Amino acid sequence: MNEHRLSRRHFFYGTLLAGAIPTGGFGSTPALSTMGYKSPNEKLNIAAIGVGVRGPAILVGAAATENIVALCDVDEVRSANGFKQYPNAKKYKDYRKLFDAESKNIDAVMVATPDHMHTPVALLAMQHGKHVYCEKPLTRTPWEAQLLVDAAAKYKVATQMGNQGWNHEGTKTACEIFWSGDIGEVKELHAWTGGIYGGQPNLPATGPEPTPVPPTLDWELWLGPTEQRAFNPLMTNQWRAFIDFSTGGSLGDWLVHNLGPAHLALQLHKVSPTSVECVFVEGKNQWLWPLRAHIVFEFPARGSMPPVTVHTYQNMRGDFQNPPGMAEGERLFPPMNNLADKGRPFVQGGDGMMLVSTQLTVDGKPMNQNRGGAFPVSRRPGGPGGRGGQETPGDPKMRAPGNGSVFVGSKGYMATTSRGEGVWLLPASRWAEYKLPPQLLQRGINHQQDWIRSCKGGAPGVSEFSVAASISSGCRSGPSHCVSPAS
Amino acid sequence: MWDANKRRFSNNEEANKLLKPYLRKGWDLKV
Repeated sequence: MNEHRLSRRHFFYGTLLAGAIPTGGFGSTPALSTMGYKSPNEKLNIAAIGVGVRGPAILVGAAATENIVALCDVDEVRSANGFKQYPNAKKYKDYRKLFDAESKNIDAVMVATPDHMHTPVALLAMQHGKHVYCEKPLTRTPWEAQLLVDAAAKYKVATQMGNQGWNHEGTKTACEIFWSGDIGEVKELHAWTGGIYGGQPNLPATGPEPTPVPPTLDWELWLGPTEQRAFNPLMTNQWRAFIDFSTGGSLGDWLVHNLGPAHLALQLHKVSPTSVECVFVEGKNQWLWPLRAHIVFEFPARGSMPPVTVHTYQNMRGDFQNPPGMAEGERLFPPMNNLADKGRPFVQGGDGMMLVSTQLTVDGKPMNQNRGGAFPVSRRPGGPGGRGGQETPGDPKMRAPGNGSVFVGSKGYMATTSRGEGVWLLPASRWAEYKLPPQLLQRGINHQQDWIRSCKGGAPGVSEFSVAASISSGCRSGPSHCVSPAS
Repeated sequence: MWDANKRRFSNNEEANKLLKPYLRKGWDLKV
């Protein structure tokens, strides 16, 4: 290890990083067991609410080590595959009945419903004293995010938002590169997403047409706290596009991923933005989030870090210019898992299995690499997890360069891919000769195990609700400005 | 403009309406 680099990094941002670097280790004590925590040697009994698509994907990261004892979903068709994977788990349609019947049998809950149900389910789980892992974005609105933060503090449970990239080697390395001072101060940052996951519904001017409810779906329970309305399958199939059911279009859905490395490295959760402004919007109506948007956040100084302007783009490039020195055709964002080329090995698992080491095993056996349920939309260009905007001719400003973020530093540029699964410096000639700084952040197995460690009395998860709430709230505030009539 | 302390827009009431959810009767959310 290069002692000079380590020392320089510590002095670069000083005490601002207090708490950012987990001291780690299990803190299990007899007192913790009385608060619902288990020892590292005991298995948790876990229930999952929402097992259509994301539920099975995140469950597999916990099922390798813990017991999955109860499952719940309002849709018999969508949940069939997830239910089949855990034949011994008890099955429910109404999450409230699950808690009535199973509360005494479960320690923790994983929530993978559409966004509008995150708060009711997670809140009830915490009121029952259960640890909670909740898919991202944490909640639809800042009000709900604060509610969950308050509940987690009141009920003293371990929490984690399901933005799995925060536990990826790429995200942690991006933080360490920035903290080393190798790209200097960052006063400007850009982040892009593609189109809305599942696509933009083609609605008639009068809105979704009423359609008979399938007998396999509890529509009233699917709607939960939202306004009562007639069923239309566009709402259950493409709920991420609807203002009432999701956080904020593709930006609302994906900024917790794309801005993850920046949020952690720049310690943005320690402040609130001073300005949130939609500077471009296209394709909005009263039901749906926009087709394209450019939203600018201004963050004040954090300790010795200067104020930073964060540009976020949905399905468009904007005015961003490539860094100087990039060759013609050179790609902006690194390939997924590119750090393997720098000697940082890790297994390429599925979306719920962000393993960061080839050496990690469970009970002496390699962890199962099956990721669980289907992930039906391919990683095509234009998709939120894809390589950029729609491949359409025309104005290049209206085509996203990819899915990721670019740090504009006073001493160079750094780009991260997607959820932070790749990181490099730009231009490529600098990255080719670059030596990574020392690893200083704690590494784990995956995002679910990071939470499970916390459930058993260990250090808090990297995205516990008190940290996750701020970035999740930003995912709503910006798009809300875009769809308001004034924008 | 974003009011960091109040976590709401100081000049856009329509946008502020989207920062807190509509809750149907029977779905009150309290810590």
